[in-house]
Amino acid sequence: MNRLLSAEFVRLWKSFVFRLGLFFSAGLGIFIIAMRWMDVKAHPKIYAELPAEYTSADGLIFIGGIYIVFAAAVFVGIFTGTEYGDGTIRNKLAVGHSRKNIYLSKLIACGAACLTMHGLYIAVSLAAGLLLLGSITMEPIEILSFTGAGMAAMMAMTAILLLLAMSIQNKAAGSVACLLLTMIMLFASLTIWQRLSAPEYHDAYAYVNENTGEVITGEKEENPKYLTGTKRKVYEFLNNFLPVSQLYQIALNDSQNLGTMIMYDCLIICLSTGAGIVIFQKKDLK
Amino acid sequence: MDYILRTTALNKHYKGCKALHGLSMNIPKGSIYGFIGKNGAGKTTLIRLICGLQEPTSGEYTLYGRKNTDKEIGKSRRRMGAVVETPSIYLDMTAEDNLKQQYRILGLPSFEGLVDILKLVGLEDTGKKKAKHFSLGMRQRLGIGIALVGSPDFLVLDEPVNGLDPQGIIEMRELISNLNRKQQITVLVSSHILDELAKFATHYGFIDQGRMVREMSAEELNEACRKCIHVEVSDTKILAHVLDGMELEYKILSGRDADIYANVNVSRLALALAEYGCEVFSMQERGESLESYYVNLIGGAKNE
Repeated sequence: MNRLLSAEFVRLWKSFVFRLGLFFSAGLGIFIIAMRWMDVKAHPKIYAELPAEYTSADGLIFIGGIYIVFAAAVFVGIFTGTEYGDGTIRNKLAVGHSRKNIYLSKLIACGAACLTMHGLYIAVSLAAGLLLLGSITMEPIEILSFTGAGMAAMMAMTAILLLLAMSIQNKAAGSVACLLLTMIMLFASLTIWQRLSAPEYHDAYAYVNENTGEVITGEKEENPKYLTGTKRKVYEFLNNFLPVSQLYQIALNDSQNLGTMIMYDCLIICLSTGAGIVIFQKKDLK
Repeated sequence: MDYILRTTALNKHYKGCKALHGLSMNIPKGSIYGFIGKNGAGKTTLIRLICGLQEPTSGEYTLYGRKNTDKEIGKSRRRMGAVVETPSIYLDMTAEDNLKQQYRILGLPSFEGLVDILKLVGLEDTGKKKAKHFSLGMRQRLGIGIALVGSPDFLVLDEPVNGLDPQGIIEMRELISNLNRKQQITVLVSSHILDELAKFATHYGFIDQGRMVREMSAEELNEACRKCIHVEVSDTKILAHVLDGMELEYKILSGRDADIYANVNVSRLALALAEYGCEVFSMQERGESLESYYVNLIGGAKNE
């Protein structure tokens, strides 16, 4: 296993896609902070009325996770697919390495790469935020909690992507499948969040019709789109379970379910890795 | 005889297709084993099985005495190097970096011998050129170089001359022969370019439709393909007496037919036979190339 890890990490270091991922992460961190800084400079009166967190970096340092997850999908698809495409995975099997060790070494290498990209975004955006926006309102323990949960979600997503990439022997198809899955998960996460955020009641209202002068009123009424019962529980479960949904919650600095989310991440990592090893063991390689 | 690889009734079935059908083969230690069969005969499937890329549906094989079901089979595989179909190389790395990767995969403590391997496969001057810019021949040679990392005793080469130019084919043949002669590496080489195989193989295995049709040594094949003069005479007893007198090697096939394994002075032989009243009806040179032997063999197997 150590031998495989040594080879994987050297390859990772030389990987153009990984370097591109690091460049993207760092660039994104600077870009998001710079955009907020320019906005604050352009609209000082508006921001003066908003809470302090809007003019500090802490509202932004976790937003990048939902973008970095796409970089992770591209990286895992290409990094893993290259082994199939170039046929180099055969060099490992032909000299006696077990399939389980090959899979685990890939998980560790891909996990390290994706966590580094995510970590780099947080570090760069935090540094840029402190430099340009000056203050930070979050407690260090909060930053650490969100960072930990974000890293766990990123690792869980990496495990899912690796399962997909290792199941498809075609490099291009594997890369596209990873990207598609991430897009589907993001779309699902946004839908889930939207449904869960729907208010239980529509507020009572009253307005004057300008043409007739008539006062129109409406009673407070139930929102038919508000989720209740089992359906709401399922949505809540998915919101906490899906790694991209977790990253979305973390981006919104929602700290209610961090413990549950990390627990689900551990479960996802174990299940997808177990399934991935079983599938890879049975796979007829060319 | 010591065998590196033995397979027993090996079967491999894919969906709706039997790629290997009870294949048994034996590769002697120190040999260059030419694995011959047409496209789709099952050559690559067997190589995939012994390299651990796929599992047999049934049957078994032993590699260095270890069965494929043995958990320690990996230790036997560590003693082999393989190039299966296309060379397995990182296209975005240099030749040297590719070899270094294999050193790491094998867990070798240093890169000792790396330059020697590069020289052996003729890639010592490629510098920082990435493998994606290599010619097909260079890639093939790099694939073999990777397979040679760790000084394997057993080299498996699947169609190593595919796509090579004539010069590349000659270089590949010399490389394989040198590895076998100088480093005592046993080589399993599959090919359908028979004349090329005939120049260096010491043993042959003929495969058709997933079955081993025949295994033989180069000597046995030469014997079977030996050039001879086929003669038809009125009495082979007289012919035998005359040939004994001339100290020529021969084989009596029937009362009228015989094969003579030597260059015969036709006039002298005819005169000598005439002295004993033996008539010569016909005389013709016969002999088979590996190709014609293969065609006859596979044709024969199909007609059985």
